[in-house]
Amino acid sequence: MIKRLTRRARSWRRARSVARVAVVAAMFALPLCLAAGALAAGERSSFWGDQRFGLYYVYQGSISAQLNGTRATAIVSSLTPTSSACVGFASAMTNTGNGQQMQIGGLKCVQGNSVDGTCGQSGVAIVYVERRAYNFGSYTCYPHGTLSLGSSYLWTVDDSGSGNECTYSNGTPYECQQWYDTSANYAEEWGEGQPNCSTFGGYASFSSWQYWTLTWNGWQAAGPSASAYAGCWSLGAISNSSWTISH
Amino acid sequence: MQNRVNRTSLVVAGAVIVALAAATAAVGNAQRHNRAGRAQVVAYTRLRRSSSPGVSAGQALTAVASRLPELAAHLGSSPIGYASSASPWLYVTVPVPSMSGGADIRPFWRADLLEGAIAELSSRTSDLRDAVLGSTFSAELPDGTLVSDATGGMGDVSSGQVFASGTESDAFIRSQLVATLTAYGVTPVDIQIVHVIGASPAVVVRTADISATAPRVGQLIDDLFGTTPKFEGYYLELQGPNGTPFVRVSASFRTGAGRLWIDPSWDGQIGGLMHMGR
Repeated sequence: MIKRLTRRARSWRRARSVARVAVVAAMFALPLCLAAGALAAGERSSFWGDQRFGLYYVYQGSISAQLNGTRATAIVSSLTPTSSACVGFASAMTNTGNGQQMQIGGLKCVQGNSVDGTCGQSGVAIVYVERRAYNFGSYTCYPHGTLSLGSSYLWTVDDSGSGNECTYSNGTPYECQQWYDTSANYAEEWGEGQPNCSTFGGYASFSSWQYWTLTWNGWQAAGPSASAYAGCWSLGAISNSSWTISH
Repeated sequence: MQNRVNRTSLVVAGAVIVALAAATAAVGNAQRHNRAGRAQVVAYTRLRRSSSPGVSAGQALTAVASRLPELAAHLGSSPIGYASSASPWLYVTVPVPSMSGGADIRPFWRADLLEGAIAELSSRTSDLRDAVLGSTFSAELPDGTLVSDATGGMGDVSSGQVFASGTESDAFIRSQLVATLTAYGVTPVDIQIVHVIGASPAVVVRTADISATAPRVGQLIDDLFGTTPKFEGYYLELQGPNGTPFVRVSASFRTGAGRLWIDPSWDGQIGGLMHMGR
């Protein structure tokens, strides 16, 4: 009787340790599967291995609907480019198939450095819109006033049905761009530093992240469909659509 | 009696809910489209003159259009997606040799200069985006294809900026640019000075060693055009030894439009000059 109980206890312990190994293996395998799935869905690997980016993203293949926009409230606490550098945080829509991009956010460069020649050029933190033309074309940047550190900005990029991806900061409309295709759309909330990980610092908190879909004509919480890429940033876990990002 | 009161209460409650929903939607729509949260404008120059009542945007367009004769420009109302506004929207069709390799930057830069001049000449406030709310630039390719809404926009930029080059002759500007280029060991290929309100140089240079020039591009731009901009705008094209461009960049300091193309094999290696995103 005692022998039988000991045998049963041993087999139970063995089963538990097998289960534990399986859980650990699944924890490692899941992100790999998600990444592999993303690549299989036609993703260009531009962020993978590029340490300067830290982001959460949703791509069209990860939701059962069109992906037409993104918005989140960002509070930027610090932007500290240290040498020949720029650093910023943004909401962005990107089409990885044709290179089109529309982003709105806040950035700061060391004086004499710039994004696209005019944004951040004077060394002051600004709100900006950057657009990239169809077929991996040129970048264009527009400054939209100074950025106030510690203040809330609802940065939105969406297509409300006109076929244009439009940008808004706290509801104020800025540039739009005709959008040619949605099949490789990505909705992204990111921090980005240039030119390398040792030249910038920054801290921001994001909250209320949602993606916009014309399929249901509404905003959806993005967190449940999100994937992450941290690069050299410290990217906090998403909790109630909120997270922090710092470097 | 009790039933009638209940029914009346339900109807009133329903009407209140509908009214509240409508009001909420209206507020949401207004927040989305109004320019309530004014941006603090960006100024590129230290010296600014106070804004004075300008001419109308139409008169401004007429005054400067002949300086950029290849551009077909007209003013209209803002396109779908924008709130109706008293400020005009600029539409320009621009002859563009190609939309790839950054070949569109120089032609669109000229449209940026036009837009900035119209905004400056017609400005009545400190923000030039009050004078011209935005723009839509379409590209007309050599085969007649029209790429509609290829680019365009308008930054929140200070009116009345005074650029240091205002009284300099083209010959003097050219000689200064050549001297700087020579000091950097690069060869001037073409220098043109565009005049819309003030001077804006378009500079094409060639280097024998891209890897030596690339890290110094930001410093070269500062030395050519000023850390505090001396000109309303500039265009700079850097070519490798065989004449193939590896950087094309432009700036328009009255619209805030900056344009950039970097040969993908040199992306991330151009000192002082970067783009955001993928």
